[in-house]
Amino acid sequence: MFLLEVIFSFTLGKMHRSIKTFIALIILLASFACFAYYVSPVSAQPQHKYFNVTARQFAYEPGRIVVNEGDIVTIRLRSADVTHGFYIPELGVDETVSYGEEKIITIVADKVGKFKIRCSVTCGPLHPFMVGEFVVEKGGINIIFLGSTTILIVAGVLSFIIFSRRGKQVG
Amino acid sequence: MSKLSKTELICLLIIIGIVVVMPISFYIYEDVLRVNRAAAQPLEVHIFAWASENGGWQPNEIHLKLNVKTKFIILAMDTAHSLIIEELGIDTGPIPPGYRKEIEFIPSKEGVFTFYCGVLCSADHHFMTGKIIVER
Amino acid sequence: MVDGRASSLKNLLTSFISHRNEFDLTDIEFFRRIFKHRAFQWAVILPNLFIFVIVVISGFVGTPVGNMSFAVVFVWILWWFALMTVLTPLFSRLWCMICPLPAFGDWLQRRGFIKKEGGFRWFGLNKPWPAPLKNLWPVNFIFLFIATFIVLLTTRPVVTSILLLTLFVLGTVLALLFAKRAFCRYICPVGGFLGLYSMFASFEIRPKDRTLCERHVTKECVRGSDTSFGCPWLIYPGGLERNNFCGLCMECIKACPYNNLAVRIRRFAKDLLVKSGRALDEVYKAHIMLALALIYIAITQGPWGWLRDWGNVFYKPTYGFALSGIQGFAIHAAIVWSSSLIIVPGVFYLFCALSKYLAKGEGSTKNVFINFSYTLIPIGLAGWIGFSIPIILVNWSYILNVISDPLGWGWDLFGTKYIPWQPVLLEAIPYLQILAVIIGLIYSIKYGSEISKQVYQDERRAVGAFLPIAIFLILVSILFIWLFVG
Repeated sequence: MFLLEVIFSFTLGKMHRSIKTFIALIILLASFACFAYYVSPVSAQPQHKYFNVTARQFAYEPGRIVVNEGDIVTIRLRSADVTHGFYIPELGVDETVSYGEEKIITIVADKVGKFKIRCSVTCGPLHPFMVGEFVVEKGGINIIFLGSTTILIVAGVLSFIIFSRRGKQVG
Repeated sequence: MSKLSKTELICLLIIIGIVVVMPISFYIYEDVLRVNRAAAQPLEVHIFAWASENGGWQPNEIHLKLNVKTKFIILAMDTAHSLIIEELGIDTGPIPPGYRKEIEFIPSKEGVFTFYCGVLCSADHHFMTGKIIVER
Repeated sequence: MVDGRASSLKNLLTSFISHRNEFDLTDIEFFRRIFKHRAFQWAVILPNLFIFVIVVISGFVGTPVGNMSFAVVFVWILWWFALMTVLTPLFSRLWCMICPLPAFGDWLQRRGFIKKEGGFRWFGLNKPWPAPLKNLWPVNFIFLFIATFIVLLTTRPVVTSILLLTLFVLGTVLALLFAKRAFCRYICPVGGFLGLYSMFASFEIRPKDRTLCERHVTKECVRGSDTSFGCPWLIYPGGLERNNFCGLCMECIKACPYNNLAVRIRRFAKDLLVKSGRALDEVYKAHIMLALALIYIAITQGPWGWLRDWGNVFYKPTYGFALSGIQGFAIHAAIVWSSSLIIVPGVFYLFCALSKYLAKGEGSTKNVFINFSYTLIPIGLAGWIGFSIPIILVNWSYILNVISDPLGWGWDLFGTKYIPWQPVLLEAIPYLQILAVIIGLIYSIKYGSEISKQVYQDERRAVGAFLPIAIFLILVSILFIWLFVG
């Protein structure tokens, strides 16, 4: 009960008007971004893409795989030295590959964004840093990056305008 | 130097406990564990593989304990043999005569199992069997 | 009763952002009593000393595998995340309050763990720190030296142990030679960036009534009293305006006969507007930290294997660039040092020169540079927080493994040794990182525009003159976002 009172007075009470303007604008922008994302048309026809990936201590070669939303990606995975993992939980990928082995992994890129490929098997000292990237774009654009950069620039410009207006010095 | 009050003495003992006693206790704990681990060395069983006409498996009845790590050391004596225990998932593959194969496993099921040779070694090859009894 | 609790909770929560409200912990009797208790500092250091001993031992005699080593997991996963994301932004130099490195030095100097007696004489030579070193340049260089080896440090337990033991011994030896916490102020590499980012923190110790301090001549807060040793951080609590050198040890709280010192929750980044104390040495620290944030994200969380190889001096690359380990490491060191000391400050300097041109200001670009560099603190801290978030969300399960088997000798004390590696909330990481960068940028610009009015007397020109700096901040933020999600 009194928690509600706290939240109410916290949001409507003594906060600076400009901070409230801010938060309102950020929420507005974020909702717009989500709406745009879901409403934007799916890109071109899903394609089949093929990659040869070698896992080695302590990186994947190539380190970055870029595909489009909806693509069906086949990865031929080998290891150059010891047993490594190839783990992208967001896309349901959890494989390991040992030296001399070859694994064929098929991924359907049904989510958009940059997903880190992590090594799930302790493969040496730098194992926690062994990271690759699997980027799923929409229409050839990494829209998470584009969207967040846009929100960032708008937030920066708005901050500049709003906070420059305040006449008195604070603090 | 002022004399050590009781509180200061307690503080000092706690610090010594952390900085000196605790590391030493690590080593003591490890030693205790080492004794226990030694007791848990795998149970070694030497098995001599003879063709059935020459006596068959020596021994041909083996008693094992459930969940205790076991090591079979199999020596193929007259011709190539292999040892298979289907229920425990053991298959040594062919062992040429004069060669030894070691296989470590943990029997996870109680009961009586048959083991046999999987390599065509002699005329009475199919009779080359033995019994493993896994009990608690 | 309920009303009182609600309003003080509201007070507490709004203190983090309010310009009018600050919540004084010493208003609460519990805090007043523990801060004044002589056993307080010894007691809070104790658990850390316990962990510290295990960390050092595990590096020397424990497993050499990084993610199974208590040293690497507790220092570079747990402590690093807690320090950057929780302890420093919320509670200023709280780590310094509980840090075990100066503990032995303190206890030796004070001839005891808890007590303070009358007629006290310091143990040790108690010399003043040499004047030419009374700045942050030693810290800057020591920190950069350690930072060059970050890949080795965070992956090979023995290197962590060597570093911590060296700092511990150094802290103790310096305490026997010099007065009070000379190590903490002028040598400790952690202290360098903690002091800087504590300016952003929502926590502070300040005098309640400065005029009272001015009238009060005996200054127990500095000199000590029957119940206190006086401030070991070589500052004057009655004149405290910034968090940078206050290690929250609470000696001043014990000393002040008027209870004139408050331990407060206050709005974030308040210290960024304090003009006194601004200096080139600490400003360089801000540039070093910004450069290193970008470099570390690229090396340890980026897909560029060749960049990672360069940081790993023992690696003989068979892929990528055909350089030897030493050649690659030399390039890595060159990148680290040049970007921290030359490239980032240099580029920022150009933006400052542009700013000064737009303001048609008098005075030096160097002055502009020093003042505006404080805007790098919120965005730099945001970058480090963004860097630390995946570290904890991906690797937290190692903490449980390592508690059961600290030395990697095959123990299983609490049954958690074989808990499988279990990253969590991976889908949320990019959004948390983006949020941190946006909030950091907003704070940087907000306080930057105020700093601009401090630097340039003409308020209207100050707005336009801040524009280049704002652009720099936005570009840096975009760089962070690109590293995180691009």
